[in-house]
Amino acid sequence: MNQKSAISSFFAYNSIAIGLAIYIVWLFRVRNVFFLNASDLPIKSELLPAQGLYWIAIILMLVPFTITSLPKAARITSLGAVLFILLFSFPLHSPFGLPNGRDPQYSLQAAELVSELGSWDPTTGTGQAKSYNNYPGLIIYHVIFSKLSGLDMVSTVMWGIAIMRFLLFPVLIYLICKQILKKEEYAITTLLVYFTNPSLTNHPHYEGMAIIFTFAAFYLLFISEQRDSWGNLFLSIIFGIIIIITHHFTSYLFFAWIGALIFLSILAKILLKFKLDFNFFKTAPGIFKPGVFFVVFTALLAVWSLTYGESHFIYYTQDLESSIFARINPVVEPIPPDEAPLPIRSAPPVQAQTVQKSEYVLSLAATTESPQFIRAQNTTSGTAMLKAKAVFDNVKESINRIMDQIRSGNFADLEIYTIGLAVIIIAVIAAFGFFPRIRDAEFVEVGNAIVFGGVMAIAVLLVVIARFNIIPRMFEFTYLGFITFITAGLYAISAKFKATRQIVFTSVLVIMFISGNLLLSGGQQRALYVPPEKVTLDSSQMFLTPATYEMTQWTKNNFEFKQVAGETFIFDTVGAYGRTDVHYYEPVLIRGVYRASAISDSTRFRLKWDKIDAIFTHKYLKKYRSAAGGPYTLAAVQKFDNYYWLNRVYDSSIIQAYSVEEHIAS
Amino acid sequence: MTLQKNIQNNWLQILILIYVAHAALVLVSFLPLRFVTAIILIFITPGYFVARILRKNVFTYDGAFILLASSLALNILWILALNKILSIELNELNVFLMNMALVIILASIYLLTRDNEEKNYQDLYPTYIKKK
Repeated sequence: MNQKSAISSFFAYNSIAIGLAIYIVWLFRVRNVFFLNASDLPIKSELLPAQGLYWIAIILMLVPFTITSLPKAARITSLGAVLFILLFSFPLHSPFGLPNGRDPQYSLQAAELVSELGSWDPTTGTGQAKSYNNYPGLIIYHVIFSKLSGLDMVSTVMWGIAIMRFLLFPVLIYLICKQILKKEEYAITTLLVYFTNPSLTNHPHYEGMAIIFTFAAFYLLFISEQRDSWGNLFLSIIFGIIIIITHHFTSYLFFAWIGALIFLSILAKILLKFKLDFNFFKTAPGIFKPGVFFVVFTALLAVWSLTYGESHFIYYTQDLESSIFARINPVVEPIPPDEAPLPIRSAPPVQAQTVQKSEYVLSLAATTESPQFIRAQNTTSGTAMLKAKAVFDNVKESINRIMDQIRSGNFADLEIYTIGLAVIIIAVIAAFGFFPRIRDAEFVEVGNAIVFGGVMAIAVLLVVIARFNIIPRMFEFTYLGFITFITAGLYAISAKFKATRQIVFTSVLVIMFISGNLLLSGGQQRALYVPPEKVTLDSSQMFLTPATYEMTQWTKNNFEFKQVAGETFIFDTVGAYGRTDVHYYEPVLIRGVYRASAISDSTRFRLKWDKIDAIFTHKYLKKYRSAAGGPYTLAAVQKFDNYYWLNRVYDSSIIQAYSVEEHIAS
Repeated sequence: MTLQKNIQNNWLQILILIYVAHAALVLVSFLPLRFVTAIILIFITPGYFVARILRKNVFTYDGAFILLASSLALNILWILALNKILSIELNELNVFLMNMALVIILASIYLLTRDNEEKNYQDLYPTYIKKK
């Protein structure tokens, strides 16, 4: 090592060490603030250390990686440190060391049930734990991990998936990119580019595990040097089974992806006869082994979908399809001219059942189907015109909804500018990489870009037309189709800036990483800085204290598998940790129980009909709203003591539980 | 002798050491080290033999990935299948034994395939043994 290289390494390692030190200080201060203010939640953001400390730490750790002249060891150390913090963000940033968020909390319940019962039983569980019990891949992993390591299930769920992803995912992305781009330097950069994507599933979620095996099976079938071996085929089938038993949506997406690649391969071989001068056609792989895999995978997927995964399969094939068609081809009811002020209904009315299915059973996409109304400007128009107007109305409302979501995301102006800048940069460098590369790029690279480009186009259409907000879920998959072009473009563009090449290269990567990190959900540090006025009861990490967890354990002992009335926060805590069946998805019941200052007889009949054993109330209901409604008045929240048929069985400064001693007589 | 050669030549001893160490750590309830041996049992031991059966060098990125991913996948499928089909309860001891059984089966397959390979090699090159 020459002197210049030694000095560079010294500065690089110091930068990483200082960044890590700042990060640790920031993290300890955040957790201390939460710990010391556990009785006064949500935490006021001014009490927390400046968020800038987090960003300074990340930049200090990341910059050495982006300096291409540094020794490889220093660059890899830098990349490793950043990826560690990124992939372990969920357990590290959880304020009280508890799984927070609906998916992680119900994952914990599912794993605890298998661990306690000693066997996987798909019929047990409550809420999402019950619906996801049909997919035991992640659950069994958690159980194996807990039983072998001796860790309790809370710690296992917190750390298990992060360990899995840290061990498997970066190596896999590197392998895929190395085979596509051929150069090690490009492959390492592409690895970082992949982890700048805004939809990494770093929290304990079934998709976060299934995606690893999805990419792994793709790697074995299409990219690996031994892709034509029977061993690879056998192993890819094993991985395929893991995908099927782990996550429904990933299975269906993988089915479409591999099917499309096989189709493109056949097409490329046919078009090759026309002597098209593109490497894409010349490098189309043989389809025998991928074809065998596809047939076996399809058969296994069909068997699982029609047995254990039936409820999800019905959702995809019937519920989802009919909802989409209702949006594309809405039912319109023309109103006569003399009743012009009345609206035209452009979508079917929503049943309570639909709300339950979309919000409760599945987490594929948050759909808030509700009737849309448009005024009849010209009732003499034909039905087709009215339908077109209704669709236009839906699109307009969807766009407004997306804008509302962005506004409610609590982004500072600087953050919005950074994200906007990153989007422009990515678009420009991807185009720069795509056009020069398209002629020489091999089949898998172009094939992936075509397939995932198509998937993204469908996702955009779905969010605009059908309101299925699926885009944030897609990038983790689809980014694979673009990252190689982005990297190629980044090198091509930075090469044009001779003297300032390194500055451009570093700036672009840092901006991309920050903007992707800003948009992440699940363990993201931004979520801790939401000002109290923007907090909702759906952001459970802001309210989930050890005291609340204690209460849920009391609930488990007294109301396990019983029916309970509660809203979102109760669903996420008492439902997930306490294993109760919380009826938060029934709007009429929830309104009747919480909104009014008295409980009517009709609400009591509903309580009886649903066999409700207890009603939960808590102090946050007065101040914060949730997806189920609110905030409510003091009288509405505290009315439960007024009824002889309700008995206060749990009381703390935060939560009260009332058992229903007697239902209304028929 | 390099680490790679050491592992290749003494894999059986290393394997026995890992399982004995893990069992001992379970008995004394020493969590920090047990966590390490658990990671090895989940992510390394079964996959090592899968990688060897597939003629992969586990000291390359490709081989290392196959080792890690196949270990995890086979552990999950094997334990789930035994739990569902043979109703073996998922407790500490059973999970440990099921993992060990999986490794023994994979090691046996590896030994069988390795022997066949040697045999083929000897058929093709009869002087191979004499020279040795």
